[in-house]
Amino acid sequence: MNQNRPEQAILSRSTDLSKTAETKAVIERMVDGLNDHRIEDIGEFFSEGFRWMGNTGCGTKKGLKEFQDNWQKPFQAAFSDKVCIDEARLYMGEWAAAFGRQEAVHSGTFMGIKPTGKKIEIRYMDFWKVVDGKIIDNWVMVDFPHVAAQLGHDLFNGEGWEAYDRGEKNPPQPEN
Amino acid sequence: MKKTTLQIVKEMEQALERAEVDCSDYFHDDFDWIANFGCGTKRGLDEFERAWYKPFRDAFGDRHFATEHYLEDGNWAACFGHCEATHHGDFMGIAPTWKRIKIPYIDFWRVEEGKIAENRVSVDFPAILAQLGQDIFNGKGWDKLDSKPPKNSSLSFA
Repeated sequence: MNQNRPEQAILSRSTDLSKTAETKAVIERMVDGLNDHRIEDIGEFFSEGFRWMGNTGCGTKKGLKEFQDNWQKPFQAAFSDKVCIDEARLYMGEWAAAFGRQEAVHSGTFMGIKPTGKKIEIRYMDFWKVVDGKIIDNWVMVDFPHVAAQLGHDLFNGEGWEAYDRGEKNPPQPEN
Repeated sequence: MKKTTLQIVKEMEQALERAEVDCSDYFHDDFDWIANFGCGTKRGLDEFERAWYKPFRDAFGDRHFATEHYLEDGNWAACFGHCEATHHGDFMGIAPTWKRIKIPYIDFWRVEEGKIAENRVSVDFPAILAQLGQDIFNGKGWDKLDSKPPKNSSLSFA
């Protein structure tokens, strides 16, 4: 007899797999909507009280209005000709996830850096939860330090671990 | 029975949590680990161990991974969550503070023939630095625009 029974239903435990098609439809329309630079009517895709939870430097936006005022508008003020390109997109039940890049022109002040006119890429990762046809939760990582680097500012002040990759520094090697 | 993409990923995470030294059961030798700025890009298992896994363990001990959600779609899997750890070694020039901190992450994995071939990663290094008292955005982070800034913005994933 097998004493070590495998864990069951690991994938579907907290996921309603019958929702995958609906989730996919909402996310695809939302990405098109954002690529069309829509702001005022994006409530079509996001619920009124949805939570946008970003990494440090990006912040947490509670509800549609804060998302529009404190994320979309400053973003469009700093960057123009924005195109969003998902490099991978996954769907499972009520959930979707993607990573990719926005290609844009730095046409306004970004974190104190005056417009350079440079074409840059803004890398991101997203997780979305869709309920009743709308996004209710959005976990996000947007690589603002990478944006600053492309504009000539190293926010890590030379301490980035890329120095290990390039062989400029030797990483510490713990015993365990 | 053939393992699912997610089973392979979860076994790998458990091995990392145990600080298993040899990760070759879970990653292809030539897998790509591609992360956000500040973390770097590691080409292959040796580079991953030398230039990510070891310095990470050197800086942070008593690591516990609290993944909030996993998702699987074909040969891709993804998750987000945070690692709780103790700052017990130098991190980006900051001497150990022994603070217990949270390190938010998002991971995407592509699995080929039972092992991870590609790992796309975001690790919130600015969140770590914020918890250790450094604001790399120098007051210009967009979290400052939030109506009520969270008590600790680095914990937005918690």
